[in-house]
Amino acid sequence: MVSIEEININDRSFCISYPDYNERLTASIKKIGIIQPLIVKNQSPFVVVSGFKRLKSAINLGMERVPCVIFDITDIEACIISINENLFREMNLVEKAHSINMALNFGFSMEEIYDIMEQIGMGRHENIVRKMIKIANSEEMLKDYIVEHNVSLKNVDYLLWFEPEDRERIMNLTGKIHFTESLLREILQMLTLIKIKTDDLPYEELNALNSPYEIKEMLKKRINPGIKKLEEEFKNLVRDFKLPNNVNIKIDPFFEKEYIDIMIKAKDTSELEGALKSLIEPLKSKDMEAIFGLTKNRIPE
Amino acid sequence: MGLQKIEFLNKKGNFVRDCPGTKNHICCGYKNIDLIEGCILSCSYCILKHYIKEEKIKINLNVKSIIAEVDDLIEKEHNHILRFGTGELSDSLALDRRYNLNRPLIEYFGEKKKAIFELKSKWAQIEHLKPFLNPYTVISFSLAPQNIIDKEEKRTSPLYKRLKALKKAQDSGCFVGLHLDPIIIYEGFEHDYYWLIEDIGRILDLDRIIWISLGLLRFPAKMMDVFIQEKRKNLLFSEFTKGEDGKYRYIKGERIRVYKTLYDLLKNKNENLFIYLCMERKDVWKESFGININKSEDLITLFDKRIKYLYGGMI
Repeated sequence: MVSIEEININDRSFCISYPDYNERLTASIKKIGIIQPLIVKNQSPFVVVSGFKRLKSAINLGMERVPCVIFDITDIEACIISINENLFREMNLVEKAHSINMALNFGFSMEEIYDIMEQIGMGRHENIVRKMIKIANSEEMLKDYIVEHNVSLKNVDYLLWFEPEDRERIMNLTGKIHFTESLLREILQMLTLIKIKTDDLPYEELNALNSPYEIKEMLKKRINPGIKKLEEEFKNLVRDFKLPNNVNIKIDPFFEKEYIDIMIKAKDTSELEGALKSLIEPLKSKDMEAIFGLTKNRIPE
Repeated sequence: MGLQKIEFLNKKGNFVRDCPGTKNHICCGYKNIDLIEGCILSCSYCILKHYIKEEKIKINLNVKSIIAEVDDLIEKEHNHILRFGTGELSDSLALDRRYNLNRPLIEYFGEKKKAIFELKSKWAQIEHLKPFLNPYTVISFSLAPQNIIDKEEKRTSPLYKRLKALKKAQDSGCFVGLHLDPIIIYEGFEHDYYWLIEDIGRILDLDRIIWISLGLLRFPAKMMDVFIQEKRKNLLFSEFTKGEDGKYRYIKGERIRVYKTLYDLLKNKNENLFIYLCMERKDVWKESFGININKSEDLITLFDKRIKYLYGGMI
């Protein structure tokens, strides 16, 4: 057992864990104590190599001594132990970033870094290393956001693209709503585009919205005003046809294809006849012509 | 970006590829000769970066085999006048003075007199080729306003040098080609393109321009992230949509408007200019130029007519 006073609790050189506090672990330690000793580097004061969460729980519980294994090791050996100790559990993206950043700080070669990346399930690529360093050195708020929402590297990349002030506002906005990974990606991509085009982001409007789909639609309107207008025109024209439920007119969502699709569902000849008859009036009207005009991106006057 | 390594290859075959084309888009039926793969120029919008993963530039040295393959294709073709080029997977001229790569092909096409060989470039150096140029080689340059060259086409020749090189090629007895591709929509682009076309009309002999292609910016979906990361305001200025090939393009209405404007400006300079669209839909052709091109074969036939009109019995 080592007195906590003999440990440098502020030295986080070998800390990978994020967050470094776990309530369930604290509850468990309170009940049965620390089963697995911490690993500390033999120097005065001791430096923790592995067991940061256990140490924090112990401090919170007011414990004075913790079980430790004391190793006479170099910094590099401590770094290897720290990474290997964590390989046996599922690390989140921030912890993976911490591992790589730590290895780089202790002078590991790129080949060794790539080996670690492979072990933690990341691709062997310089670009990914760069991104991981950025994550490891980013602000707490971003790290919390990544862990809480289990954000992918791709989406973190988008978030890192923004200046910290914008990033914070975006995290506040998206943090309160549940997004799927792909939806978050779409939204972040649209936000970057708006920022590039206008050098501004419509926070007021965004904050007034409550669902991811409302946000997506609002941003789409900004990014694709032309397509949105065509969509609205199309909806209006088709609605005015008052077609029965078994007749559906479809247009290419990108308004690229030269043709429209007319779908008819019929289970007998009379349903088919009814469906075809429902198309006669629209065919005579100028509105059907207008729909074909929309395929050429022509908005009716 | 550091200097790229050059790798010399001695491949045995498969040097000539049909332009891959795009489903439901009109293709001009061009034949690409893969003489060089990779480019030393650094255009921000370049899709080669996406297609060619390697940093190395590969040069195929087996010119005899290339010529044999080209010759075979020319001999087998009875319906059309074939057009070949080395500017698809690289810039045709950027490395040419150093390695003298195109000269044997220029000489071959000059002797063959049955097909057209196009050198497509943004690197305005043709002095070394002048003694060998003949009417069967078309010197072509991609043209863009200087504004765009400055910001998006690093390491390339400035506009005035490209136009000067085109003029030199015309003076050497060649027809020249102009490629306004990619056309980028940015704030004030209409004004810049107006003056670009004015410069073309002022400097070049418009009767000796064999063709002008117009192609608005399009790029694979993955490039969007690259443009975003690099904050390419010019490239991302306008509204995009995804085509059937998954590539981003400007929305159709905008494409039609821009093509029509440029077509009118060019035709006002010279009614006889042969202008075509690169990889566009038939309705865009119709709406922009008022021409019915329903399939790629229709465009290829127009090319045949154009070449026959300019070369008469010489091809």
